[in-house]
Amino acid sequence: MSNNNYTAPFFEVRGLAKRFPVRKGVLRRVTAEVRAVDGIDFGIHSGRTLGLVGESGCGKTTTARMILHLDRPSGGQILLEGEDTVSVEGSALAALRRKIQMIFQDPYSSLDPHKNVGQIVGEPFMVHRICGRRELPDRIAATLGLVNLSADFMRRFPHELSGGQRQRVGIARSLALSPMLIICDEPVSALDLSIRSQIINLLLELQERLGLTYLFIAHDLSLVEHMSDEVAVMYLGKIVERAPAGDFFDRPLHPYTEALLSAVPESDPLRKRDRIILQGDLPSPINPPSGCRFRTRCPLAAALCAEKEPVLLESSPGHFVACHFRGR
Amino acid sequence: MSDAQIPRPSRNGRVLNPALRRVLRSRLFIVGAVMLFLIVLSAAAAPLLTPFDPVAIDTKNSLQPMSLRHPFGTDELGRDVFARVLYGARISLRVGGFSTFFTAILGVLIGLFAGWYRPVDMIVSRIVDALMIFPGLILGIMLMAALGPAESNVILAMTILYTPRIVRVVRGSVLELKGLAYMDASRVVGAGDLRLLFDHILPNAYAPLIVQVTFGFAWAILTESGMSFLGLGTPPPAPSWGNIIADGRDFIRSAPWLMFFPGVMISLAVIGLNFIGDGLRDLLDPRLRNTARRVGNQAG
Amino acid sequence: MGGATNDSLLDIKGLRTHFFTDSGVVRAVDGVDLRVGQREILGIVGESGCGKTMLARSILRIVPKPGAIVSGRIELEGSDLLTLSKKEMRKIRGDAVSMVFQEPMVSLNPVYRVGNQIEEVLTAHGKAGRSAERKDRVVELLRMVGIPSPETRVGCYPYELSGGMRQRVVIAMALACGSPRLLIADEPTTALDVTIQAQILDLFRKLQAQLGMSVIMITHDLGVISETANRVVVMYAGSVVEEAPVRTLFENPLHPYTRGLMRSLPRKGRDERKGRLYTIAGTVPDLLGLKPGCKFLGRCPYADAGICGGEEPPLQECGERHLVRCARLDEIGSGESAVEDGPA
Repeated sequence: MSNNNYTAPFFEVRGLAKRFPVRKGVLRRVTAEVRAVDGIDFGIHSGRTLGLVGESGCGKTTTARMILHLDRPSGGQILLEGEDTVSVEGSALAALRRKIQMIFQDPYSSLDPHKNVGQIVGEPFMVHRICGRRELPDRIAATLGLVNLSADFMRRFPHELSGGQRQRVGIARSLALSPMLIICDEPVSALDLSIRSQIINLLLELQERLGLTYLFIAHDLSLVEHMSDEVAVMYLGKIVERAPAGDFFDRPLHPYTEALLSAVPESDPLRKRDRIILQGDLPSPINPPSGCRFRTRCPLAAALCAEKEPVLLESSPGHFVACHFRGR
Repeated sequence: MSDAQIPRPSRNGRVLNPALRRVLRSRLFIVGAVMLFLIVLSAAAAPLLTPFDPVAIDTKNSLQPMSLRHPFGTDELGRDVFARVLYGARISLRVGGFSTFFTAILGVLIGLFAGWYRPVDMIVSRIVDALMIFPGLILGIMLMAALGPAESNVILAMTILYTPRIVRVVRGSVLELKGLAYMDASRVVGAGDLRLLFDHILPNAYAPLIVQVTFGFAWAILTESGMSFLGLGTPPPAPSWGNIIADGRDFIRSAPWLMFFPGVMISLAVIGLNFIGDGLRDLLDPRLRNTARRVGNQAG
Repeated sequence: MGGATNDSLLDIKGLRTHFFTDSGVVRAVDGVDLRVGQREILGIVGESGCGKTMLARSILRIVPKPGAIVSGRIELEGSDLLTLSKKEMRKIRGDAVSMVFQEPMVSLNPVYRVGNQIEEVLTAHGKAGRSAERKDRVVELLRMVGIPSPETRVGCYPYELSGGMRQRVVIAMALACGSPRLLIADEPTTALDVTIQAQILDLFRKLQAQLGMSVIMITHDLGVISETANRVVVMYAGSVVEEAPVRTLFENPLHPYTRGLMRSLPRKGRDERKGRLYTIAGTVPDLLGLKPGCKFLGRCPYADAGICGGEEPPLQECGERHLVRCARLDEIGSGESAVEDGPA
């Protein structure tokens, strides 16, 4: 973002925040706030993939929900092609839906058990009145073809399909409206190991063929490394590091990123690493630690960390980190 | 999470088919269904089954015991009890049927919106709670006293009485289904509230609803009889089972058949419907959702 | 299997656990031989339907209906667990053989404090002693599993603890009666965040060394296996297809399934970023309609219907303590070059 030829990213998030009120007592007064997402910025260029990683409670799911208009942000902007999408309604919202879509994690609960594949994949077409009744089956068949499912599948119901097939249906549904940006929320973690690579390859192929932009959310760091051009890591509602994929995995700067990467069990017994084992648990999101949120578990923590919250600063081209000691 | 169990596609693939097969294997359901069928049949075929007019008075023949001519005997006005009971079935089924039907429609609509929109829920839940505080019959009596005696008023009163129960069941289903991933998925592709409610939630909420409606039908028959017995239901001389029993009250020693037969009919109708409801409850819902997965998960 | 038999703690021979369902018989565990040595961590790896969980439940004889152990022997230090009475088996569970499950929230009763739940294990096995002794023991257990301020945590309800803490409590319950001879851990870290997973796996290693017990670690995660196990068993559709010391397995996987799996999962440094991954054709087979012959037939790039479709090949020794169930090993060879990149 600090290159000389600055081009605005195709999709951008600025200062995005989401706060949930905590209500206590008979009168249900608001006593505190959960700052699930506390001011994050990132951008994705067209046709590229941003991997978003972080552990439970970091806010990545909430971020995805806000981008999809499933939850309303408490603050900040979500920009698609330069235009803010947070406050759109009505027909503008419908138009937005055609541009941003999602692939869900669980192939078992993300398909309506009472609808067949044709109805599931056809719903986007019907909602947006894209084509007439007569062309609908052809459009659905074409969409299924994108995910290598034959038209026969249209009459089948989810319970008749395998996990991999269901996930393909979910992917087909997300492609129906020809979106530009797709949020992939753990697309293979609920699938059997031996079929994951089929779906991964499908996602990569679709990105190439259709010029899709992906926001790829996953906890499997090897997978994120494989799929992403750029990676951002969240902790307690903030982005603590963001970098091109190669830099992120080879030269992580933030102590949390280091710990995260070292925690991943290495499946090559020849490559043993010094394991950084974080002590303690995640602090409460209602009352995050003052200053740097990570300081309660950070091996580098010092007095400065409690007083002043580090800002996300560029350390090397494209590589941003929020840490007092690892910035430069 | 298992690809290991890919069930073979059923003949036309609908989710209902395996359930339908199981339904037919449930003895409870079949017995109940047969009982109800017989009652409906006899109500429909009443003119064929008895030559007597249920309201025709024949004081010469009053209080006759059971005989070939009068299988259920006659009451104090000489009316043939068998005919009254058969035509009474029509009343029970009609009143019970209509009130159940309206209850279902109203209950589903209110329940869906209450479950979906919190402001609606706040109002509806308070009303539902208030209505359910009263014992059904007491409230029914109050309503009939206010509305006046007429069959249509009985239907109205019973609809008001039972709708809260349906509202609760449907609202519960909505709350449970609202958070499922496929609801989010449909919202993300652009489905609006109405489509989400009627196209996604309602089809998945049928199971507890159908069971509750079936029990509601049984309740309606019982309540109509009860209100008629107390003189505040279907107005005489219509042969509602409750009326027949009420008429027979003074003759419980001398002509017990007057109370016995309508009582038995009420019992049979209610038991039959309860069997159907029980049978349906055992068969619907949890099994439906889990058939494909259970074996696979256990095997892993 | 190499090594003296008197070295083994658990010896499973010919175990068959079948499920008798409305649609047919599911052979969840289909003739499995397994040995766990003293002080050894054995990893069992496989995906859904492979039988690893049912194998674990068979050892403890807690197979749910409509399943049943059909045949085989499970010898724990000589005595066959399958011949014990229910009462004797109850003494073994939680004491000599303990199990830790995947979801700690499911193993813990939400309405009882964690201290009470651990105490219950002690009482059930007659190791109660006086109330004060029990409470001390509980605190000591919580400390042993790495829970900070155990004296205060004793009074906590499960919902007050984080996922990692809950799993530690479950481990404490498994160890309550002292040191089990065998601890079975079924996907103990799958539901946890990766940094917590690292803590828990570290805990397993420490406890195993400290208490000298044997561990069976069941998982679908190859990385977890690589970091924790001494020896690995790979299962597929109810059978063991490969068995080897951990380094051997990762350096030289032989069975086409194992090789396919390792090739298909993205690995740092090996695959080109955003490049196509190797794929195993097809899907995990339906255990109901298994045909005779090798279970991997139909997905195997080396299969020969004539050789592989007749009988299921036996487990053969192919190197130092390395067993493989494949009839075509000689033709396949063991180099990476023999494996082609499969289509997407």
